[in-house]
Amino acid sequence: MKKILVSPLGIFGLEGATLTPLLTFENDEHAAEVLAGIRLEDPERVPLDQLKEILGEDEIQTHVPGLSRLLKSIGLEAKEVSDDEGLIAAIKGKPGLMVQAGIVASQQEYYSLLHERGLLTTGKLLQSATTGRDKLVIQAILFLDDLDKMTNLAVVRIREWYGLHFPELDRKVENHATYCRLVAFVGPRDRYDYDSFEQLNLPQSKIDQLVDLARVSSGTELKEEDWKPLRDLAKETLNLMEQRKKVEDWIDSVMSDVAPNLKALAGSLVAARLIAMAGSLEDLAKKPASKIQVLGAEKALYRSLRTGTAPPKHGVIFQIPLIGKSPWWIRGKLARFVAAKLAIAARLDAFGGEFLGDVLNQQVHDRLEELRKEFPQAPEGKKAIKVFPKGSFNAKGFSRKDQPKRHGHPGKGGKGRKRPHGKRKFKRKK
Amino acid sequence: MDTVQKLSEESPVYWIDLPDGRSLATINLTPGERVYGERLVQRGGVEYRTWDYRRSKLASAFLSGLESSLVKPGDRVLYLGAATGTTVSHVSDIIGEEGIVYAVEFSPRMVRNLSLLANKRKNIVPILGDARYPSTYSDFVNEVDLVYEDVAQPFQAEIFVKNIKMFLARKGKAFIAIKAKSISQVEEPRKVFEEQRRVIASADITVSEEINISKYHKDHMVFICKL
Ligand SMILES: C[S@@+](CC[C@H](N)C(=O)[O-])C[C@H]1O[C@@H](n2cnc3c(N)ncnc32)[C@H](O)[C@@H]1O
Repeated sequence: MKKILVSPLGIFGLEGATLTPLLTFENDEHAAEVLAGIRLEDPERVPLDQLKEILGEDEIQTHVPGLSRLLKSIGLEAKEVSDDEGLIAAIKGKPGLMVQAGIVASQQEYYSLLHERGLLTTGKLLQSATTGRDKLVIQAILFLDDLDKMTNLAVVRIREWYGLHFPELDRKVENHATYCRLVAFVGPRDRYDYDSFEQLNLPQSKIDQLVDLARVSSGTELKEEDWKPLRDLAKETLNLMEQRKKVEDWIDSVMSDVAPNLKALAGSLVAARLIAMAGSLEDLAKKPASKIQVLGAEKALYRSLRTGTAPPKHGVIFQIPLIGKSPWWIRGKLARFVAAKLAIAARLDAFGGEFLGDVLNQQVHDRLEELRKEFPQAPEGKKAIKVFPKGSFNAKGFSRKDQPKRHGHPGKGGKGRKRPHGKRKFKRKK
Repeated sequence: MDTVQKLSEESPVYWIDLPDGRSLATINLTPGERVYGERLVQRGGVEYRTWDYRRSKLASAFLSGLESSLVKPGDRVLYLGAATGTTVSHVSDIIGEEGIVYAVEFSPRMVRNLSLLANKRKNIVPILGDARYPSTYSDFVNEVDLVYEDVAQPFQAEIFVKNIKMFLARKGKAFIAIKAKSISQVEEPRKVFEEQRRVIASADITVSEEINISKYHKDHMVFICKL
C-alpha cells in the first residue's frame, strides 16, 4: 500500500514522514497544468502513464479525489481517504516536509511558489469553468432575435385586428407593450373609463386623451366574446416581452463569467452578439481587430470589395452607445480603436486572462475625448453618413434587425439615402 | 488626542478618527490601492483603509466584543466563502507579508475578482473550490491558525467541521458566521443557532464564544471555536 501526497511542488509518495518524489513539477506552468488537470479529472493534462510506471501494482491511498479517480480510470487500485492520520499530518505539514526533503530551501520559498501556482491553477480552472458556456449564450442571443420576430409579428397583427374596433389608437400609442396592455386589460371601447386604467400606470393626461378618443372613435363594434381571442393574443404577446427581459438578464449574468472583459467594453448584448457572429469566444479571440470592427456588416464589406466603394466603418459594434452616439465624423476612428480593444478583451476572456475591462474602458473614453478635441467640428464638404436613427435598437425591445428596410443597416452607408420614415429624427448628441 | 488607536495590542486593527465620525481601519498592504470603494486615509506617514462593518461580519464581530487578536500578523488563514474579497482584503492587511490566506469561493465570477486581488497581494491564494469538499483543495492548503467561514449555506456547520478537521492547527481557532435565514426560513433564529451549535459540538469542537451581531447583520450569529 502506497500513500500519495499532492502539493504545489509535485506528487510524492509518503512513508511515515518521509517524501519520495513521484513527479516534481518543472515550473509554475507545469504545476498549474497538472493540478488543474487533477481537479478537472482530465487525463490529457496529467502524466498518468508516467505515474503508473512508478506506482506499479500497489494499492494506493491519496487525499485528492481527482487523482484517485484518474488512477482508477487507468486500472490502478486507488482510494480516496480523508481520515488517515498520516496523510492529514502530511497535508498540514507540507511546507516543513518539503524543506526537509530538500525540494525547497525554505518555507518562505514554499509559500512564494504556492502563491504563484495557486494563481495560475485557479486561472486555468476559471477558464474551463466557462468554456462551452459561450455556446449557450449564442443560442440565447439567437433566441432573442426569434422572440423579437415573434413579438413583432404578433404586434402587427394585434394593431390591425384591434384597429378595426379602435383605429385611432394606433397612432396615439406607439409603445407596443402599452398598446398590448390596453388590448389585454381594458378591451372594448365602452370599457375605457377611469377604473379600467388603474393598473396600467399611465399618466393622467394620457388617460384623459384615450377616454375621449374612445368616445368618438369611428371603429366597428367589438362584442365581449369577440374580444376574447384578441385579448389572449395580447396577453401572450406581453408574456413574450416578459420572457425577452428574462433572457436578457440571463445573458447579462452569464456574460460576467464567460466574457467579463468584452462585457465591460461592449455591454452584455453586443458582446454576446459578437461572439455569436464569430461562432464562439475562441473564434472571436482569433480574429484581428479589423475583422471585429466590421462583424455584422459583411454584406457591405463584400460589396465594397466588389465595387470599390468605401468600406463599412462599423458593424455590430456600432450598437455600443459610446460609438453610436459619438459625432459621425470621428465615429470611424473611434470604432477602429474600440475594435482593437475588443480584440484584446476577447483574448483575455478566451484564454483565461485577468480582468482589465475597467482599464480598457477608460482607454476608450480617453480616446473619445482626444478625438473630440482633435476634431471638434464636422469636416467641410462632407455629409453625415446616415446610419440608423437613435432609438431604433432598443426603446421597445426591438433590435434593428427587424427593421432593415426602414432604417438601413449599419455599415451599409447609404450615403444620401432618404429615410422613408419621417417621424423619427436622427439626433446627434452635442 | 490620538486620531488612531489600536483595538488591542496583539493585532493591527484600528479605530481611526475621521471628520464625519470614527471608523475601523487596517493598514493598507498595497498603498494607493483601493479594493471595494473604502476610504484611504493617511495618518503619520501610514496609509489606512477604512473597514465598513456593514460589509464584513468580522468587523461587526469586533464591534460586538470579539477580541481583535483572533487574527494576528503572520497567521495562516483558511477563508471559506471569500466572495469578491472584501473581508479577505482586510485579513490580508492584518496578517501581513508573513501570513497567508487561502480564499475559497465557488462562484467563478467572484474568484476572478479574488485573482485580481491576489495578483497584487502576495499573501492571498485564490481557490476556485467548493467548501463542502475540503479534500479537493488539500493540495494547496496546509495547516492554518484560523478557519473562517461565511458561506450562508444550509449545511454550513457540517462544512465548518470538515474543514477544521482537515486543516486547523491544534491550537488554532475557528470563526463561523451563521445566517439563520439561510438555514431555515421558518424556524426562530435562536433555535437555528442552537441546532448549529449542537452540530459543531457533536464533532468534538468547542464553541468557546457566541457573539450576536444582529445589530449589524440581521439574524446573524458568530461562533468562535477551538479544538
Ligand atoms: C455572505 S457571502 C461572503 C461575504 C464575504 N465573507 C465578505 O465578508 O466579504 C457568501 C459567499 O459564499 C460563497 N459560497 C457559498 N457556498 C459555498 C461553498 N460551498 N463553497 C465555497 N463558497 C461558497 C458564495 O458564493 C458567496 O460568495
